[in-house]
Amino acid sequence: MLSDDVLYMSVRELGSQIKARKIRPVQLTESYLARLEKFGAKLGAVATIPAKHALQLARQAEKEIDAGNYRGPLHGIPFGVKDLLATKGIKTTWGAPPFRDQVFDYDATVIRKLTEAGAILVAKLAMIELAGGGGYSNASASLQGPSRCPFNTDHWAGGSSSGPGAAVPSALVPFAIGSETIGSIITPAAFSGVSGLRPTYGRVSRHGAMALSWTMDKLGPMCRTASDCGLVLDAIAGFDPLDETSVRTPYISRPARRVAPGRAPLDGKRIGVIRPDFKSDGDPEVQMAFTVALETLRGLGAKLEETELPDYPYSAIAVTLYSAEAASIFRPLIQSEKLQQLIDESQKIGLVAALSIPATDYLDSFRLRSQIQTALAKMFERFDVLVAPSRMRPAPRVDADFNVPPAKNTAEKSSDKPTEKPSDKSADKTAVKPAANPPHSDERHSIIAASNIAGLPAISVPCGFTKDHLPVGIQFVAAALADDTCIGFAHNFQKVTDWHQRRPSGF
Amino acid sequence: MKRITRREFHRLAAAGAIAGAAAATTLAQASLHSPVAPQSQAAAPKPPTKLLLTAEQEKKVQEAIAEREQDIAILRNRMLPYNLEPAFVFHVRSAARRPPVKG
Repeated sequence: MLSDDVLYMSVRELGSQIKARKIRPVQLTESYLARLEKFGAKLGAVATIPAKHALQLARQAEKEIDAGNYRGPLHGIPFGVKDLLATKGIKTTWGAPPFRDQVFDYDATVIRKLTEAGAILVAKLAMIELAGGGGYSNASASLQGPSRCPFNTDHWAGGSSSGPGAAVPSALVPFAIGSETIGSIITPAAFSGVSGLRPTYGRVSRHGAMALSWTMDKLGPMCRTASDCGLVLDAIAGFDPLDETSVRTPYISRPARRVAPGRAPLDGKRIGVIRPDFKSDGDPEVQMAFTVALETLRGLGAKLEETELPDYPYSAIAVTLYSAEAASIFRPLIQSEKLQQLIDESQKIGLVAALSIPATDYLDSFRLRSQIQTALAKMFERFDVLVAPSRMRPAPRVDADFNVPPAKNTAEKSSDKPTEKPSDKSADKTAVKPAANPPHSDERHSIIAASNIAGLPAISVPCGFTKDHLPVGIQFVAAALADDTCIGFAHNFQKVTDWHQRRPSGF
Repeated sequence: MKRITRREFHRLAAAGAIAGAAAATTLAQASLHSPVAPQSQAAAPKPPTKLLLTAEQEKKVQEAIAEREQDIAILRNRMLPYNLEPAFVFHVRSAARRPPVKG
């Protein structure tokens, strides 16, 4: 078995080693499979491990590389996917009991593209059931049970891409594919110390992915570095005739620019800072880490300016859009006896309630979406990126009731600082409202809702840890199709910080 | 061909409509008791039209809807310009769409 030092390498480093034939794909795959077996259940990270299939692909990759047919930087690299991507002949559970034995006879486009790039699928990873479309009230709302943050296993890994959140920072896989409708990549990236990229809507084909919301679902890479996110995006981006919403604009991953002598990497770059009201609904340790991160960005030469989002009811719009679409998508389930097999009561109630969303509200949300797209695009005439804390609080405990305000959770269950959840102004203050995007304090700071409505790219990278070893994330949001801009800012941030290199103890 | 009167035509047509409705009701009832959806959404049968909820769940759904009405008021109170179109556009297709891949 390969050493932990090797298995914690970035995808780029692993790729170089494979290209130089210092690491062999079969050995690498066997080593990650062993870690998945050893730690997967402990972290609640895994749905299925297709070991035989993985080793077969690894042997094929090894043969090709030995024959001089090196396909590129992902050749021979193992990876995992959130269990909502269709994989031919391998179970795809969508994290939900009614679909526990579901098997598709085709691969999702993302799986096909990664396989063509020579990458090796080693794990289908855990997720919140149905990506939390109807809402959920606790970390156990998953067929696979609660996923745990590797840095503090008493706490949740985040959702709904929970398995990728748990598996990437613990080196069970070098990278994974998650999905986001509204917060499902950014949140686990923040809670588990991952570099998670939510690409521009349409950048990555959704074909073969469980649909929760046709107009808001995105697939994106979750890695240990921002640079790796760019590498993986390079492989999975592009138009797909099987997904008519995929964009034709090519994605070009640019290597980090050389900095001229005497200049800082972000010289002349303009950052809009969306600073939430931590006093009313935030954690002081997160606030501190965010403040220090801003100073780091200033030190890199960027010009920072406080700003606010245009005034729109982002949360109400986002919830209306995806709830109505989810109700349509899952109506066969909602109206069947299998609804009762879902784990979380909030999920059942939320899905049923969504059946009665008036068409006029859905259409009005779509009309406001037009205005929001324009208003946010205007912000990017002033700023290269917007930054905000990825989450205002660190990960809640795995046994936390998401419907109970943090103070109550704290009093009843631990001596921890308040962890999660709603305030009066929050987006999702009840069980029935989807908690895929746990709440923000104020609409002018609802960057997750706003940027998802507009389909903008964002990346969350670690920017600190609390005294309880819980990761804190900072997110960079860019204009539509400027995925590389987010990655560039995050990459420069990671060049002068080492939060992303921390390893959880015991793994 | 035998000709019928207008009155007779209406009587026959009305009987047909009732029979159609009865058939639809029977079908709906049959589907309520037929085997539940298979694993794949793609292969699911047409869903029944009645929700299968407990009384407690029915109550919670009503509460959820009432709460949503409150939350959505902020959206409904917004004046939208007459010419503001939704952010999606229906577009015609010149060629037939590919059939979806079967799951």
